[in-house]
Amino acid sequence: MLRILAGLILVLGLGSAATAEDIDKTVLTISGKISGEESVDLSIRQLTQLSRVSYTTSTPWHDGKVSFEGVLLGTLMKHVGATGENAEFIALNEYRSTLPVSDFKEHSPLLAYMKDGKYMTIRDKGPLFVIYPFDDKPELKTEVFFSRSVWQIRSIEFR
Amino acid sequence: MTRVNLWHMAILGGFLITHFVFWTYFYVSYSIEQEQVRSLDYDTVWSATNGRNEFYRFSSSVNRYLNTNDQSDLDDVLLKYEILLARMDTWSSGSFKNFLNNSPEENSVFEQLSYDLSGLSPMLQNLPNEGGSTVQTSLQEIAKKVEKIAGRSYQSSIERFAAERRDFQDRLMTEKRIVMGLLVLATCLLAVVMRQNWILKQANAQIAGDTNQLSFMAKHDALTGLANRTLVDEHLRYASEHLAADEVLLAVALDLDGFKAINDTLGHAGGDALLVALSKRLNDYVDGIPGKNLAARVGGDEFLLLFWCRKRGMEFETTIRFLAGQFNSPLDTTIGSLLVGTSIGYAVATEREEIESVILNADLALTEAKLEGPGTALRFATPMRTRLERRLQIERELPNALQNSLIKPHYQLQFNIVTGEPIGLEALARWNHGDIGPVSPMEFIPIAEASGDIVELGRLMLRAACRDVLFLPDHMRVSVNLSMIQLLNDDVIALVTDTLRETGLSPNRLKLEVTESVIMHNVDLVESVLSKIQELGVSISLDDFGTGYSALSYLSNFKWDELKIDRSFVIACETSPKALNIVNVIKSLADKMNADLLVEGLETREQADTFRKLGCRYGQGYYFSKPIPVEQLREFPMNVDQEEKTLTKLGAAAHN
Repeated sequence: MLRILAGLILVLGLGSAATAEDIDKTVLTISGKISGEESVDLSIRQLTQLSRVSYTTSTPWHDGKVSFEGVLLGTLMKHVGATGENAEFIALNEYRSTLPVSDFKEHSPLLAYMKDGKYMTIRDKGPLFVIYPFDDKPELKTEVFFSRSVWQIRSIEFR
Repeated sequence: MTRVNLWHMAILGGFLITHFVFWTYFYVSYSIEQEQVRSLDYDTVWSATNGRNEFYRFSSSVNRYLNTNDQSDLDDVLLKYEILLARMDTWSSGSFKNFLNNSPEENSVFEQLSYDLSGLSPMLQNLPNEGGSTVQTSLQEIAKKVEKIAGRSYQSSIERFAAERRDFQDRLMTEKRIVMGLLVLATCLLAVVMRQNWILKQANAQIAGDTNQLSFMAKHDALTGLANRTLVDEHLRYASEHLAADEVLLAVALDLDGFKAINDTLGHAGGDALLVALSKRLNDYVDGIPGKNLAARVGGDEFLLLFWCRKRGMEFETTIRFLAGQFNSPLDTTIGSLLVGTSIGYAVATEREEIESVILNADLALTEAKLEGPGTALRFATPMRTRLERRLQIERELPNALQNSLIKPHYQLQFNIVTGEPIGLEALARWNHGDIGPVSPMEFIPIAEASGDIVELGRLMLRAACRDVLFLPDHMRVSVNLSMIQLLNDDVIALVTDTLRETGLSPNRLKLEVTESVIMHNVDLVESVLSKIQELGVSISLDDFGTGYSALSYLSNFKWDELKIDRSFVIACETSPKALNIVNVIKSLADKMNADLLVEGLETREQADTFRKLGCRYGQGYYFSKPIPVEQLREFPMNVDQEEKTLTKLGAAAHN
């Protein structure tokens, strides 16, 4: 865990943008009901190798429309062979939010690693950010889905 | 009705408008946008709370590092700082920025907060050399600002929720009121519709009542309340479809005897009173017999009774006898007790097919019954139909017979029975029909009267008589009968005037005969016409005298030239001394009226002698001469000196 933290600080420095080497550092740990090992560590590069999806939408936390790029949580789940009904997302600021797995299929939330074509720093609410397609589905613009939009994600546990 | 409609429309309109308002209000007040605004409100509070937590984590991380001076703790400080800066970015954009823009005081606090935080960056780089106290003092200042913003965010959110709750309650009240209004309007609408239904129902009931009344009036006689011809037809039509094998339909036609005289003596009110009382009695009688029976009034004094009964136990003759018995006791009418007689004809239908003709048959039987005299009841028999067909044939061929002069006068001579001298002759119509042989005037005259052909027949007879008598000696006068129809429908005065002028016959050689019944029909009119004819010089004779009412009024009012004693007296005088007395009275009456007296129907020498002895001077009959055609008339000796010869010859002729 310390290693990840140190890596993150190195990667992100004090507000600096990600560099080519940084994207190979582990940024996400997936645990719980997954196939094989106890947990899986993933780097930005590994994530970018999964099929990319981009959403352009407005959010309550940004001015105007923002373009996000990343991997669908459903895709990621399949990739790590995860099962279970809920996924607990834990952020760097100790924020925790539980997303029902059914959301992945129903609303296609994105695990974004890029904002407006750039990798996100911690300052940018990176490195990973759950984004729902709010503009495409206005009914998602409720406190329920705002609370599920976790940023500065550090780990996911399937239960 | 129009007023109710207006109300109806107004309430319906109000109902629809209120409905529209309700739903519009409902949708507008629950717009999705408002929903989203509230969601963002939650998010703002949440973001403020998290920002506050992040600050305290950062603050404790700094303290820990100041205590331990450990590199890994410094890393944590920097991470927490980075996270805190990210939070500040969040607060300066999106929905949080909107919240700050709406609270100017907090906005300036936030600007200082951002400034203070960015000022921490160089201090953190120099830790722990710079000394913790400066950082800690700075952190305490920052804490106050974070608390202020977070507190404000929470408070404003609460206020907003409170306002929203009030708003929500107001909206709920408004909605309740609108719904109440809708309910009230719906109730009114229902009430109006129900009232309208009620009105419609009333109107329908009234129409139905009127229809029943009309229907009753259409099928019943207004005066007596009995069924009329329409209902009879309906009843018969129904019977012709439903008469069962063990059932029978008896149709009885009645015609009151002498009803006209009752009307004439008691007036129409009296006649009506009689009809009403009689109708009730007939109806009671009909109702008293088991079956689907009907009593109807089908003419002024004509009634029709239908008995639809079982064959078993139905005795037609008994039924008719009891029916006739109903006329034996006086009727209690509004003008007193009245007795009236009737003629009855009846017919029976035992099969459905016979129903069609059952009324006609009963009428035929009635016609024949009337001919037989008052109080007769006859059951229909097939020969009646034959006679009817003969009557119809006569009626059909009468116009043609008149046109082609197939009907001609025969003449019966009239004599001075004291001297035996022929004094005149009576023209009598004769019709020798090609197919059915000679047709009696007794048969075709009534038919001609009914069809109106009597007018043409009368003209024809008058012209022929006037022409034929010209060939006879001047003292010979000719008598021609005038019928009632002629007097009413033809200009008899003009006819007589013209005929006399055309033929050149002297008026004093013409004598016109009318019966009592003609006078009775319209005394004033007939007397005035006859007076004018008399003024032309033509004589007027009263025919069939003594058979009718012989009312003294018209005997005295009009100056009759001649009275003709009816043949019934001739027969009566053979056996009854009383009849002889009456003839005596008539003789003196005629003398007093200065009228001639002529005896009709003398058939034997004895009869001629009897009347001669009574002082009667004139007579006619088979004893003297039967009616003969004009050709034979010319061969007849007409002079006084040939009297004996004539009488002998005539006597011989009469016995041929």
